[in-house]
Amino acid sequence: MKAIFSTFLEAYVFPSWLKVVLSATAFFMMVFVVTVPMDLEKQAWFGFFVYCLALMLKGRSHRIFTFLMIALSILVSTRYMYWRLTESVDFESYFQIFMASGLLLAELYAFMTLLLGYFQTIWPLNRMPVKLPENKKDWPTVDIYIPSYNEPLKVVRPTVLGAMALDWPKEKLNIFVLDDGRREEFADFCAEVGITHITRTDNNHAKAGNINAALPQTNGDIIAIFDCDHIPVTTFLKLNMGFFLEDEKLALVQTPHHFYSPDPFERNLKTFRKVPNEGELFYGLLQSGNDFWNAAFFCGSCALIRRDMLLEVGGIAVETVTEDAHTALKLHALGYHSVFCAIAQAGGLATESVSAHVGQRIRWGRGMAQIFRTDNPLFKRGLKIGQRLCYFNGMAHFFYGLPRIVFLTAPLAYLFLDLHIITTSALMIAAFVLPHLALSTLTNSRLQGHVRHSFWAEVYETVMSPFLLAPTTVALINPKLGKFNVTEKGGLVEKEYFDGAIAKPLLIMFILDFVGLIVGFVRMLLGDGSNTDTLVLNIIWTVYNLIIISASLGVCMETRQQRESHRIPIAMRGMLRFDNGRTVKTRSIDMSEGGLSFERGSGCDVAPGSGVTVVLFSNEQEYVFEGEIANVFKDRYCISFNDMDIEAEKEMVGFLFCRPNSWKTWADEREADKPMQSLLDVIYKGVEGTKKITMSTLFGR
Amino acid sequence: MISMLLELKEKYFKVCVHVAILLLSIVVTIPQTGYAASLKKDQIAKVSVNKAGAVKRVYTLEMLGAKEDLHLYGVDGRRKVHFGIRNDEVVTSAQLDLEYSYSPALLNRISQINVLLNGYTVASYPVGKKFPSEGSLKISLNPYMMDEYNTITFQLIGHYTIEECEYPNHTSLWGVISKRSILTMKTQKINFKADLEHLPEPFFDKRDGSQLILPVVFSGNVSLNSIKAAGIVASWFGKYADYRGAKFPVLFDSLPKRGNAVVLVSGKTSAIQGVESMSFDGATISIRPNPNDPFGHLLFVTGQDDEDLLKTATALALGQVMLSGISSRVLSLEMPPVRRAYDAPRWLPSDRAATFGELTEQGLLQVEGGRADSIRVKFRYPPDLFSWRDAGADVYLKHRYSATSIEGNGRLNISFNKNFMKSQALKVAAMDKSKADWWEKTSEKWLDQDAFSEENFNIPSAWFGFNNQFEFQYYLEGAVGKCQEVPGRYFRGAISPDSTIDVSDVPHFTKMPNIGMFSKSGYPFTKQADLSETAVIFPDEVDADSIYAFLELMAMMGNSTGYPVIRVAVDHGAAIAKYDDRDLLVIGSLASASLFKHLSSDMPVQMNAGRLQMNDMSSVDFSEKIFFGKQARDDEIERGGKLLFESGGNLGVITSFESPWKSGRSVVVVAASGNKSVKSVADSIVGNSNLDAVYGDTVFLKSAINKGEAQAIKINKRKTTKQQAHRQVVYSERVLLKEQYDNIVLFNFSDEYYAGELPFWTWLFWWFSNSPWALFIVSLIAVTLVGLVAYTLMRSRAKRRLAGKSE
Repeated sequence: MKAIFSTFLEAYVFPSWLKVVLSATAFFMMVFVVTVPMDLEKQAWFGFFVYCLALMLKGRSHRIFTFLMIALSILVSTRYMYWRLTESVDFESYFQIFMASGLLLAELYAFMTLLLGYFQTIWPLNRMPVKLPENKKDWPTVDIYIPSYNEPLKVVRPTVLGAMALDWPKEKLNIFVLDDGRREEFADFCAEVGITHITRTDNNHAKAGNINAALPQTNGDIIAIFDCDHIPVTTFLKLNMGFFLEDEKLALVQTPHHFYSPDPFERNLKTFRKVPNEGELFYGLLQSGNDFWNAAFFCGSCALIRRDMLLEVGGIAVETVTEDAHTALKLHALGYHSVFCAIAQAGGLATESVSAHVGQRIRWGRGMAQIFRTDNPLFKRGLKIGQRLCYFNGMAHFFYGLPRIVFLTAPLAYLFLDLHIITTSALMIAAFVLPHLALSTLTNSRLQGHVRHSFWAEVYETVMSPFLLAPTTVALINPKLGKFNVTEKGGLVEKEYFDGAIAKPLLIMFILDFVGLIVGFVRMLLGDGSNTDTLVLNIIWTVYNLIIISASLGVCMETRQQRESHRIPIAMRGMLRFDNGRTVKTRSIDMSEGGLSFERGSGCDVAPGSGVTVVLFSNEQEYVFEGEIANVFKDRYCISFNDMDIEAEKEMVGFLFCRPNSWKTWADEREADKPMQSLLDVIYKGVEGTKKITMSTLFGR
Repeated sequence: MISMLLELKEKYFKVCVHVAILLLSIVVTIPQTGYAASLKKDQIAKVSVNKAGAVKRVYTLEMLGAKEDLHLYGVDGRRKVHFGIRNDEVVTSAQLDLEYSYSPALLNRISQINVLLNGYTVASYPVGKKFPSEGSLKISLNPYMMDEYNTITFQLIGHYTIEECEYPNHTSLWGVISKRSILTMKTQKINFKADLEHLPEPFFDKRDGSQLILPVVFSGNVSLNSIKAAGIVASWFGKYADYRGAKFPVLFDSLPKRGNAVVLVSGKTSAIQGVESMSFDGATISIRPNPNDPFGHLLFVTGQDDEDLLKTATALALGQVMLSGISSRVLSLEMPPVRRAYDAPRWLPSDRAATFGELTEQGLLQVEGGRADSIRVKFRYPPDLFSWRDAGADVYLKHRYSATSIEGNGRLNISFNKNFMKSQALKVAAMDKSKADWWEKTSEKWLDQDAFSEENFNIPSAWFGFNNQFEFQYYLEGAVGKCQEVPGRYFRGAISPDSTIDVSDVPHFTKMPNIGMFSKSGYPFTKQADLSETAVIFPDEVDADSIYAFLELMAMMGNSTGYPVIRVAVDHGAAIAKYDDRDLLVIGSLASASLFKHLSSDMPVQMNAGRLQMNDMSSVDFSEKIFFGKQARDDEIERGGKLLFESGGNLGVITSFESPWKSGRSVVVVAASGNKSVKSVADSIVGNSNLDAVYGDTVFLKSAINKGEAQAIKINKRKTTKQQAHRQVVYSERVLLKEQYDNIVLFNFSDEYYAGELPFWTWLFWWFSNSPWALFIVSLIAVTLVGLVAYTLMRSRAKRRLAGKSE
């Protein structure tokens, strides 16, 4: 039965007239379902039925059920919004109008985001690489650009070495370090390893200007751009170049940015490798979804661009601070294609502090708002509807600042001021809003569960929202205002501290909500009239807000980042040859640029300080490193590398970052999203965060 | 010459007649409906009559319409009460026993309380020692100053200072006339020669606010047709009796000892004692004195046979007889076309917009003075108005008024059925010509100076009842400060009779069964004003009590619709199946086997072997049932059980359910069990406002209650001081409320069904709104269709994308 159904589904093609008839029928039915009014009891039943259906659909693997869940979620949410607009709005006073319409607009924004999100991720296109022709003469020539401005050479070195190790005919591969810092040591290093060091006289338009200045000086068919800390794996070009040969209108291939260090959220909340970060949602799903609509866009790094097409749009866009997305938009507008290859083929460092992270997002938000103003994708000529909506969603996303703050403070209007900003009974609100929330959570969990865990996005957004609000708004009003800031990377957080500047708005909201909660309880105890259910609803809402805010506060408690280089877990068989002549066959645990650690079996005593030769095997290839024992623990040896010459460093970089499967299996152990578990985790982190903040502020610990 | 003489004679004769009528009826003026309306049916005066025709009537002011004590405020506070005097009585003496109090701050000499009868001051009490600030007064009213409609005005002339200026609305200027003040009138019945021309007088006199009690006398064998004829006549009287209610004690072959009666005779002679000698000549209507009572009259409705009798009654009710003298013959009867649904004269038209002009007399649509009483527009609406969500009535209101002199001091408050709707600010006259702009100056030349406003608004259907009332109140704020004129003394306001109320968009559709609807309005029977879709079913042996109940219910329906029940079908239980396409009203004893043979399986309540039995008792979940229109509490359930138990099966029962023959049709059973009489059940329906609020389908009554009667009885016991008497009245009212509560129990047994029809889309939305599972199924189908189509579309797009194409 299942098989028959599945075969039918895959093989049957609806005639177009039937599609029209079915769609029209379904459309009218949905309009009907959206507009049928119901009283509390009936709506509660309806919501219950829908919820049960969603639970039944949830567990089924076929993609058709995703479609059904999306349709159901849209239906229920539209029904909620319709009810919200027609039944729960009653304007009483100007102040109340202001507050009520604020919440309503925030909800409309969230609703729009929900719909666009479904649209964007309806069919993530998980592409497989396209094979290159046998004849290497047909392979295009490639220029590798590694722009840098102020990053230390230490950060750039492995990237350059990784680029040099790329598996591509040497005569067709040229590597350029675009040094806007015009530093001598960079020039020396480039000379040493034999690549080109390009500088310019000014720093106009930052990274975009840097690349544009380099364009006339090189002549490869394809330009690969890597941020100075993104180290490509050796197969990067081989895997991605096939797309260009297959599709002559292809202008851009983008690959994910993989971060092997935890971002500040992950570090401070201790969720690294357990809960996916924001980037994973973007590269793991949204870009794949964009690709389906031919709307995958350039992200500034780890990407390949065809030179002639890039020149056709005037090089990298310089009008906005998110030059990457803007460039892609221009390419798409000319009818060129883009591809997103969802295989992580370059590793990089995440931002190291919350403030840096926030700074980076502010830049993105400002840039997106600038594009929205100057080159609005909804109206730009030459785009397809899918591209318009995907770009629009990418930009609209960064306007979440205000709605988020509204949601975090809305219940206070009732608790403090007794304003009914939703003018209907609390139970009625619950009956309508719960199916809407439940369905969208379940559906998004199904769509995004592997790259985003429920409720965590709210934590991310909450930290960011107070800071995104101003820049996006300013950029909307005048896109020319605001300055470019470079994202700092490769730094250290030397001691644990509380980032007060970032936490300030969160603290204010926390205190407001907390006082609101107390007011709520007091009103409850005093038996505040007949509106107990409204009170309860607002108290529950406030408690939820407090959880999210306190988890966000936890983010602002910067934990120590101990190591100069990040350890990357690598479990691989290898051998240790000690100075005393003994050889041990064992497995590696993790590795960094400075050293590595190995599993230690019993009965092999080696003194710290003695020399050791490490031999590792990967892909039938042998890697040899010289080092000395730094530490011996019960279960492991810690080995630090000796000073390396360029060749040794190349080998180390090649092993550590450039193995083709370097970034393949890192997320395998992670569990898929379970919304309730996620909520509990967030609550736990919230409690932890509150505790830490309290200790830190009250006792200075 | 002779013709001139004849003419003179004729004129003279006419003058004589006029004088006679004047003498007889004291003064005849054009009747004004507004007066008598202040008397309510549940406040019936205590009346006693002796054999010589001397009548004593006792009213409290509350009975005359003063729901609250009469408060008099300001320098010139006035309140009024109204009363009427029957046309066949003359007042011999009248006395007002006044309970009053006034502000101790009132100044002697210049402050006074005046009592005016029809505008003439009959008593004036200057504030002072002789007239303490609290007490009682006896005021005799001169009978010669009384009209058929009379107004007593209480006036407070109040001053608190003799300085030149004072605040006209100072808070210390008050006086109170108790609503328990009593008006006692002694009247004498007049022996006069009645004339058909004055029908329905003397049988019904609209000046009399008390319930109409008019015996109906049957002669010989009582046939179904004569019952129907009596029903038509009863509904005709019921229409006139209006809010007063009407009862028709049934007599066979004997005349009432005293008072008036309607006599139905078929054939040439009758078997009625006292009028055996009279002979009758076919279809005639005649009026004769009651041989048992010199002050009583008999209305004879006669026919050659029962058919003919029916014809006479119908002609009378339809006004198709030339009525004059003591006897009129029915020459021909032309049956009017069958009434359409909801076209009862007293109901608001539901197929078009109705103007206020057709709902109310124009004279009542205007007021004078800045603190005038509200303008009231009353109408009845079919009770099956669909009251769901935003359905409602559209009102277009147009009104004119004297523009006020001060910005923002005048308002028009609009209420509907005591629900405040909105308040509209009145416009201000352009006083200062120099400030008027060019447009105002120009427009003034051809626009008149009256302010004119129009407005559209909507009344939610949930606010509608059967009896509805608009209230439009013009209100002028006084200026603040000393020496101010009483505000708006010369203010006038008028609601335009062209204003409309439109409910034609509201469909007729309602959940049944509903006893409250039946007791309030006679629905579903009154849907057709002539009851053309109603059959009344009697037991095989029709007894006096059943006929009594029938006549009382027909009178109620006549009152509800304002139209006689000329097309009602009347039959025995055995023939019930014949009326499968009608709504059925079943009247009789619950024990009557013949009556319920065809219904018993569908009835929620029935008699089985002498025991009251509730159908499918197991399905009755007491915790969910409704008592007094709300969710039952434990004590109410207990009370209900106790009542049923204590009654010993002697209960009145009203129950309603869907007709077993046709869906959407209703059966209403008005019955009694045990030694209980169906007569008292009918009295309970008509006289009991408690039933109006119920929406159950089965009502059990332990004993009939009539608040008005009981109150009159209590007052009668009054022998001691007035204050004791007042206390007694209050007490008796409480007892009554408790009795009412203790004597009714409501249940929901029947399956619900719906009467009426909805437009398709409304029905669809309504139905799905009540069926979450069905809406869920629709959602499922829609989602599946969308999912399938979207899936196939996206699948093929994904294929194309992976093949390296843009689309």
